[in-house]
Amino acid sequence: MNLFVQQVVTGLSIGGIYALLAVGYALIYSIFKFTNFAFGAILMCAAYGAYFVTHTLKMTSLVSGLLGAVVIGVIVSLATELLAYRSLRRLKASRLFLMISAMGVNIFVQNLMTIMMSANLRSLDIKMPFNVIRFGKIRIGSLDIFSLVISLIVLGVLWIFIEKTKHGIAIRASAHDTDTAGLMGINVNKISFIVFAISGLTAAISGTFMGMKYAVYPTLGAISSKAFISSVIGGLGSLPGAVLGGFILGVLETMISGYISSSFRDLFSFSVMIAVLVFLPNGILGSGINDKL
Amino acid sequence: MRSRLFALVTAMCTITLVLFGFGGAAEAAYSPMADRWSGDSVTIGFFGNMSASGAFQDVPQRFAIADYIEDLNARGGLLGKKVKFVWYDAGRDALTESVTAVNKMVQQDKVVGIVGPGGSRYALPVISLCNDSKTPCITIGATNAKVTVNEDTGKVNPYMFRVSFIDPYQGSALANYAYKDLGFKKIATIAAVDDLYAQGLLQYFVDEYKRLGGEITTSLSYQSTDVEFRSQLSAIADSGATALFAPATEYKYAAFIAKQAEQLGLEFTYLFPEAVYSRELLENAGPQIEGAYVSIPMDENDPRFDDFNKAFDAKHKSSGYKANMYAYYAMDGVMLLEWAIKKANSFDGEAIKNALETAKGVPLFTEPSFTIEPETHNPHNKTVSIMRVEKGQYKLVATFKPGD
Repeated sequence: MNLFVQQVVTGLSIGGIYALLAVGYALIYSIFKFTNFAFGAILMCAAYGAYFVTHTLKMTSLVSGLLGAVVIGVIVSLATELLAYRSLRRLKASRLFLMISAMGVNIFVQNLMTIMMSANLRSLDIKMPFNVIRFGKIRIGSLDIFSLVISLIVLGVLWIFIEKTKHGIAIRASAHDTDTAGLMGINVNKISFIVFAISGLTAAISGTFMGMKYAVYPTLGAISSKAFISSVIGGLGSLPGAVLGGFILGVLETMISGYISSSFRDLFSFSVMIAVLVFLPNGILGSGINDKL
Repeated sequence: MRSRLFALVTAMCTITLVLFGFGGAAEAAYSPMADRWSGDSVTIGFFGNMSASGAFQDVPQRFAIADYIEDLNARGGLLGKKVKFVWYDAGRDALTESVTAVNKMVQQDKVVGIVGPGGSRYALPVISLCNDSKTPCITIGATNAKVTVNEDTGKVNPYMFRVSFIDPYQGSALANYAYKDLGFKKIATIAAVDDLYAQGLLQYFVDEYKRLGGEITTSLSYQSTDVEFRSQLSAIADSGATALFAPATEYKYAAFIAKQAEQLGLEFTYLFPEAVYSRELLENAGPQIEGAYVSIPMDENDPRFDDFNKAFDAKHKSSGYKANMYAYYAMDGVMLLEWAIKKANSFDGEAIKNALETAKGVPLFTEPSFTIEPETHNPHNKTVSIMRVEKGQYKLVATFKPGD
């Protein structure tokens, strides 16, 4: 029983990261109806931002690490929007080309960072107030607690922003129908800037915690493929769906790795994704979207 | 429009045929051996992982070989010819990129020999290429037994050699040390399920450990793309094991495992193979790795490497890479090839191969007296050293020799 509870706790902590990443995917998809495969590269660059602040500037608190990551994450995300996507949207390019462009950005940035920084791991040493909390035989690491709590706070703030603010309403309107939102006087380019900035923010927070949990290296963003699966399971374009999908996937993967074998983990993850798409084509909480990329 | 499309497709097909079709026909036949040394220079090749996360092993090897060849040319070259050095990156996809690299080296660069690669997953795909083209290949860290001996026939792969020890002996040495010297009667294991090196080493370790009377409490796995190990670590702790054997292929897995165990408040005594041995492991895993044991072929702290380390580190400071035992392996490999060419007094692949098979008491960089076993092409009686991490440093605690 203890092991089971321990695995659930571990799964929720991993799910928190997936959820945050999946929200970044879902936001872009909800507005522009394409999957931003450059998200992994943005996450990785943001993690290097945190590394720069903590290692080079010697500011080793969690807040300074997160700030460094957010600055870089938002800049790279906005640069990606400006350089790789906006011009394609102006040309009324198919969403398929946007997705291919995103893949190109991902590979380009990853290779550029490999050349610039080498493939070596870099340890992100951020001081935490405590190490492990024990409840009997159940152990919860401080990093898990902080990553889960901060992820939930960010998701909550994001929800309030989208539901209660003027810009949030504009984002929702654009997500519902971008062309009509434009005709109604909403500046879609400004909204896209806000959305990519938020996406960069979620990538930065995820990147910082992933850098702390694992390390900072050029292929760190590869894990964002899990966020894509989470997003599909929860419902592409649905923010609550993305969060739910992230937690489902995190717990599912942990259970399979712990009780069966990690060899079967991706088999199960993708089987669940396929099953969801077969029986719930819009994901668990997705709205009526007819096609998904 | 259709005619233009047709013309485009025809042109592309023609170019493809010219570049690959006819090239492929030439590959099958291979150019005459003498072409390799017909000019005023000869070429030595190297390939490996220059760009992926295991580059900390292979990039220093490339530097070491390049530096040695530079020095060799300053001493007059080989048999009166200048020596050129070519290298290729196979880091993105070991299977396909290794084959492409060796094809290029044999067909395009006309190498007289290959020093490398450093890993078994790069060496295994090119065995038949090296044998068919009669290109001697001295692997510098590939420990899988199948690199030099065909598993099915039991016959030696004629053009494949190695300067490192092999996994059966490394696995056995670690199992003996864990059971007899450290007194671990129970141990857990975790290994990449999709990696030949990890699975081979795991099997040798488990077989020997069980033969000694030890109990494997649980055997868990991961995939090479994984970064998350906490689920497996929780299960390992639940099995009651206090020691963990992890035949990881790169230091990053060892660092992830140790860091994540620490995040869960778990403490294990780790046993790792030589593939994780690096200063980067100590820097990344930090205090969590204290007390871990690593099997390696030689002790980097040995004072006889000091001058080499200083010169290497100064020359390659801007690269971010430092001298390490993989670079020492590379030095052994290139010195052995130089010795064989001089012994054969020829650049002919078969003559070099024959010379290598007779290598006995050859002074190399790490071994004052290096001998190749002709029936296996493995080094004779290669030392396995066991290092312990103490205060952020590797300390030598034991050595094994198969012949002892």
